[in-house]
Amino acid sequence: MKKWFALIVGLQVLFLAGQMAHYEMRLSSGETLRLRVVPYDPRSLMMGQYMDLRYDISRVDAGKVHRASPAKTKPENLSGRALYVAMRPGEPAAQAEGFWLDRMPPREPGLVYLRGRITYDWENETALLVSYGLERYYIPEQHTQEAARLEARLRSAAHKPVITAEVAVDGRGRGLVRRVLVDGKPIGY
Amino acid sequence: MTETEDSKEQGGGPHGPSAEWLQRETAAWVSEGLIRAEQAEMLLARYALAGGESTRTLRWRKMAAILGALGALLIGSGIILVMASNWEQIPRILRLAILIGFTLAAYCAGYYLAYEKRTYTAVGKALVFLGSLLFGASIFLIGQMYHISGAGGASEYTAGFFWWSAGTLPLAYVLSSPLQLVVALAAGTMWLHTAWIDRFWALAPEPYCSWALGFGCLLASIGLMHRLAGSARPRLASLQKCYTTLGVVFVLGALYGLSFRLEWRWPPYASAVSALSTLAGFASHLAMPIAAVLVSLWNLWRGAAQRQADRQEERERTVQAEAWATILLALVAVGVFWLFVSHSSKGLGEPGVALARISGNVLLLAAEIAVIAVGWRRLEAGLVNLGLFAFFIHLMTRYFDVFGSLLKGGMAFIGAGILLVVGGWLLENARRRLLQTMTPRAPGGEEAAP
Repeated sequence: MKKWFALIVGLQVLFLAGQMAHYEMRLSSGETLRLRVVPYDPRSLMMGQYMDLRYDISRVDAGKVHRASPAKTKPENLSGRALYVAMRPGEPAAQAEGFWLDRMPPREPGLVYLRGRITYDWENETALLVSYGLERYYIPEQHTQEAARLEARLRSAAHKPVITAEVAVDGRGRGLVRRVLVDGKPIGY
Repeated sequence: MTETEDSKEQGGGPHGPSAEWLQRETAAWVSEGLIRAEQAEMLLARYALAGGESTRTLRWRKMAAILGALGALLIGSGIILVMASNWEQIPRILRLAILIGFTLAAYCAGYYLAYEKRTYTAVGKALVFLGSLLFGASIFLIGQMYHISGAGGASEYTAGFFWWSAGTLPLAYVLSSPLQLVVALAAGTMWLHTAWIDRFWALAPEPYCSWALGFGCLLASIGLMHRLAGSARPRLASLQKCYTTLGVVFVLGALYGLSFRLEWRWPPYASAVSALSTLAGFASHLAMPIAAVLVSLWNLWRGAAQRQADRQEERERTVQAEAWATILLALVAVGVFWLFVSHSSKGLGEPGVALARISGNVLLLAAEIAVIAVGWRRLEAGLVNLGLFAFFIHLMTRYFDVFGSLLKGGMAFIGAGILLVVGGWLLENARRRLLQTMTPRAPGGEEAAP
């Protein structure tokens, strides 16, 4: 029993170390994209211990999606399927150049392909709501007040700050948030 | 403890052949399902035959185990909160080392106390339980370091539940630990819900109830499989209760859902019919009842084989009844799925909806009675309580949400009540007939105590 116990616990520890190594590798070797963060309803950036981020590519017009037959472009019919977004990196944020259903299209130079999953949009029945796994940015407890102030600026200031998320994208289109920037400057947490 | 108890536990109890007889008989009583293993241990402790334990120390042992498990839960939650809130200044690699360090410390200390030294068994088992909780917490805290999002059921986040379950399940078997199995089953159930079921089936209650019924049947049949295997490998029997209880919760919950008035069509906000046509959608749904039927068939075969070896006909009959009931419910799950798929676009129509609702209520009532009966048969108070609780909730729900009108509701209650009274009367009759056939053989059939 002792040998089996040690083996299983050892595998658990290896798994945890491997999980971290996997994410580190993706962060260091992935292509860099800056995604524009947009406010949405309810306009709350702060959700307890994390920022709830939505991007300009989080809502996609169903008619713009390649490989979706016109009869099946009703958002509810596409729920749960993968969506690949061709992004052209740029300043202050990358621009979307096309949307493909299910499979990544043949690569074109200068484009980075980001993978998302279509979810049902309860608020808007004409557009697709796409989740990229990049919607949360966890912040330390001592910085929650600063984040709340940033949210207030976003809502009330005449000059609204441009918020972007710097994302590392691997060869399979999976993204990881590296940092969040306000007017091009990284926030300090 | 009374003076009489003291005298028996301090050496005034049976010795020699009497002690051997009592030990042999209590083991037989447990295997025949007359008393629980804990009760047998209490009986032996009363006569100082339980390896130095007394009835009082056995009660304390149980209390210590409960306190230890609750303490482990609190410590685990505390460590997660402390780490999640306030550790940005620590480099990531050091955070990983802290997580692994806590996990390893809990595992090693727990194993040493519970399985090596065996001095503080309850505390040791609680620490191993804490290790499993910390393993799961570490998976999600590492995800949090890299801002892995759980929004929209993102697969990277939900996979954490899978790995938590997969990492803990082998420990449950190696240590024969129900606590580890609870963690593994809870994490596995979370994974199934977040990764699969939310995507395809949670949009409407009918397909979800069908899936939950199939899942419950699968767990219950795995529980019975462990119970059967337990006669050869007693360590497996200790795990059966977790599977059975969770399976019964899902079965009763699913039937409770089907006992309401359902539309049997996709609601307007979720006409996700494409989900039904995908292979993954069908596979995620039908895999559960099919697996439940296969495991139940294996249980039937295994039960018959054990009957030939042990000649325990009563037990064989119980196994057969439980296995066939599971198969029947798994087929009901498939039937519900088929009914929904074939009518989801146009609906079932008023007579069909009413018939489905009545069937759901009848099935739920039958399942509640069956769970109580199985609980009595197995001497598992938890199952009896679960069946009674479901019956009470069912009764209260139908009392306030009657079938259309007070008159119809009253008639349904009276009809169900008459059925139960008639059932009780028939059972009493059968019992009397059985007594009459047994009476002439009874005096010679008993083995006299030495």
